[in-house]
Amino acid sequence: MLLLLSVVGFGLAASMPLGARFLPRRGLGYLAAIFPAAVLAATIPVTGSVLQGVPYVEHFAWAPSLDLSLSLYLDGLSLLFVWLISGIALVVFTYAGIYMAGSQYAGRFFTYLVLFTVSMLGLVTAGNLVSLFVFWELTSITSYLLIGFKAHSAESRAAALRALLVTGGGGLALLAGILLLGSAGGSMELSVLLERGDIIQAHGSYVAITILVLLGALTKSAQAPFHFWLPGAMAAPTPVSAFLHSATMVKAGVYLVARLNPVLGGTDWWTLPLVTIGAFTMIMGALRAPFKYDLKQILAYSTLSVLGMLMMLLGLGHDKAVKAALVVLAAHGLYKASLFLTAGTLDTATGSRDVRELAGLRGPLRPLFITGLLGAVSMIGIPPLAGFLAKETLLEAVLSAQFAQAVLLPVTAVAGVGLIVAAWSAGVKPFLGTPGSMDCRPISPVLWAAPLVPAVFGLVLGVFPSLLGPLVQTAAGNVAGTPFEIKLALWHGFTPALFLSAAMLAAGVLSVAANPLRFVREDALPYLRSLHASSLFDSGFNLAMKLAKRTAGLLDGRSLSYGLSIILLAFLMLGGIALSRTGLLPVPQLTRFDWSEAGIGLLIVAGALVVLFARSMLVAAAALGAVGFGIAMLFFFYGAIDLAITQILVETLMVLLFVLVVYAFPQFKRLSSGAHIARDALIAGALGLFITMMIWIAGVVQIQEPISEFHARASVPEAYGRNIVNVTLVDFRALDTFGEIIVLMIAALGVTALMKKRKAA
Amino acid sequence: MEAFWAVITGLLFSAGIFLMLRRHLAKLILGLILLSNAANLVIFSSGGLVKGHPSIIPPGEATLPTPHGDSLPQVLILTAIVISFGVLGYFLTLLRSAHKTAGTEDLEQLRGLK
Repeated sequence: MLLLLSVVGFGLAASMPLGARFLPRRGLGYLAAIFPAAVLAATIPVTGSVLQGVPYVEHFAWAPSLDLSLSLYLDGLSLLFVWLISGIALVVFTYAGIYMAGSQYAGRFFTYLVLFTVSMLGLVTAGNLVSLFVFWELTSITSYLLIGFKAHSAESRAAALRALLVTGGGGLALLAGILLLGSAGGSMELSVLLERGDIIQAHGSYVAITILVLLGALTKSAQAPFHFWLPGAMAAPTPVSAFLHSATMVKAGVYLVARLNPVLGGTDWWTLPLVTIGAFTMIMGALRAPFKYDLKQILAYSTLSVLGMLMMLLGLGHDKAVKAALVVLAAHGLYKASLFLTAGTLDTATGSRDVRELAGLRGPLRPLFITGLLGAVSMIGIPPLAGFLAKETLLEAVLSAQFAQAVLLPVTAVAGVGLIVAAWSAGVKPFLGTPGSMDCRPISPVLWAAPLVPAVFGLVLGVFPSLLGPLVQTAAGNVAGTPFEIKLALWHGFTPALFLSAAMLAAGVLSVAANPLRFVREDALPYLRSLHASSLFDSGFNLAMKLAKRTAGLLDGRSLSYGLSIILLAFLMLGGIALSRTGLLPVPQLTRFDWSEAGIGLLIVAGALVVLFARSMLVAAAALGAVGFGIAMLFFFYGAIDLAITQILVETLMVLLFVLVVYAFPQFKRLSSGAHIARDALIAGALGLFITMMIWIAGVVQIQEPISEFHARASVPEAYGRNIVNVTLVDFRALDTFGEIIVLMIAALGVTALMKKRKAA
Repeated sequence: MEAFWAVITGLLFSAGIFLMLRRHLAKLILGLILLSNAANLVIFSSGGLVKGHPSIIPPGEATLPTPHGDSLPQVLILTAIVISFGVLGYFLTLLRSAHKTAGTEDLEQLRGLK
């Protein structure tokens, strides 16, 4: 049961703080790493059948009446993601155990990290849209906790909040999209929806669904103009950036697009936004990365670029593009994880992430140099690494694109050159040149061995692409909706893609030689900075807060009477709309008009009038008593004997209480102006009229058989009582009565506290 | 008779709301009492008015003979009467406290006093 593993994962996450207390500091990472290892092991038995195109499915009815189920759907696409996530998790956890060993909050850190991993795995294997959404939101929340992990830094907290607001906002859009999708497709189950693409595309809400789902995916995967949260998220500890913000979480959006491609894909509403936004993000990230000097920023912008590339490829959606998307996804996950972890090790060893300072480290950090080199070479796209395979398939996909090829080809080529420069600065440059004055601390072997693992995988998959072939083929079939043949090979012969690739490499070498970093000015173009998406977002955010404050101030905060008037008017307006829709129904004269009853009614009204105009508390109390006794008599008339008795008792007590507590109360002063009184009288009058009309209409509406019919039937045989009101109070609705007693008790406690306070004062 | 009681309930509501909108703390409490009485009447009439037939099963019978009133609103109102009495007791103490410590019952002046 793979579903059970998620429970195990949550349990493991919860046990991390305990582990931090009892295990040696460095052991925590290994303990956490059990989870991804277990997931990897658990997928082995099902791999064979999944690769043959039979999805592995588990089903657990959660709330069947709501069509909610926890179901697991593992096909080739999901399996690719599961392997990527748990494989990189294994590496990152091991690495983070050492990296975070010095932190006193390592336990908390691993709790968040394991929680995130469970959520991410849940997301890519969810077989139900609702559970997919729940895991989706969980990744946003855990990501928030991890970005803001250095909570003492205001910058960290701001970055975390920004990321949460953007991805959370996208999540809301996704929720709406999912609900619409579920109702258009008639099911929340993925396996059902995947078969109903035609029905959904013909449905009236198709466009809305597509826009909402894409909003969710594009925010999660940091596509322009929502990209700004990703570079900010680099405030997280480096293992987190390596794991969440390059290899996994940001790919959740890519997963969603790939997942729903057979359902929603193939139309202009799908292709157009994905290709334009994807291509724009791709070139924007690739053009900005070479001008960054912080290792993590370089990698963040290059990640943006690759995410855009993936979105563009999925938007194009022809066979070659789907294939390229999956190969790029796998290759990028591997080289980006190793490059990020390399950056973390460089930071630990030298205390700097600035590529302008880092130089000549190939001597002291030779093993790390190999990792950096492997990662960079893969990212540049030189054979025999997986990155080369990715770049070739990418270029082939763009060369065979039917859509806007004239634009996409140069854009892709230029982006590729940018990525080459970024790869060079992040993976190779720190190790070359003459060593600076920087001293280099000795590091644990884990810190260079762990990053090496994904880099070596990149090499192995590059040399033996056939290892990746079957999985990519199955996954591509899942994305496209229909299976198709895929061949992965390192050598394709002298194709146009190869020549283009060589030209890009040459341009890349020239660009590296031109050293773009020398154009970087710390204080350049401050007016441009205010146009950055993040600044725009911040000013929008501040504006929203100001607006909220003003609105709240408008509605509330002056006086009780003012606030109450607002509430009453809103009620009147909404209720009035509802009432006007029903129309005034004719009132059947159910019971005959009775003069003795009318007398009681007039007594009640008279009592209320006296209360209105009373100048002293005692007069008001006496008049209130009259109202209460009048109502008690009404209860008597209509057979509610228990009510009448209670009302009489309570009225008597109330009058006594008034006399005892406020006998010495001064005469009422007139506090309000005439206009004020007139306004309030208008509101009160309108409300009374509304209530009258409501009762008028309610008197002729009977929606269903009264529940009390059941009470009447069950009272004698089941509760052994003949007074149904009593039996209901102490038996059928005993819990209500219990609540009532608690309210009385709290009131008594409040009274006691007030009396005590007064004595003390 | 239903229409008559609907009007009476509406009037009671109006009186309660009007008093609650006053600046005087004591009037707020008086208004609250009228309002809870009016609310009880709304619940009572929503169950349908049936005259002279209490919800008590006569000895020897297994169930209520028809016609009979709806007993559920009565149950709810009974709970409400007791609870509003508790709330009233608390409010009256509060009123007295405010009067003694702050020397005013004007809600506008009571604002901001600590």
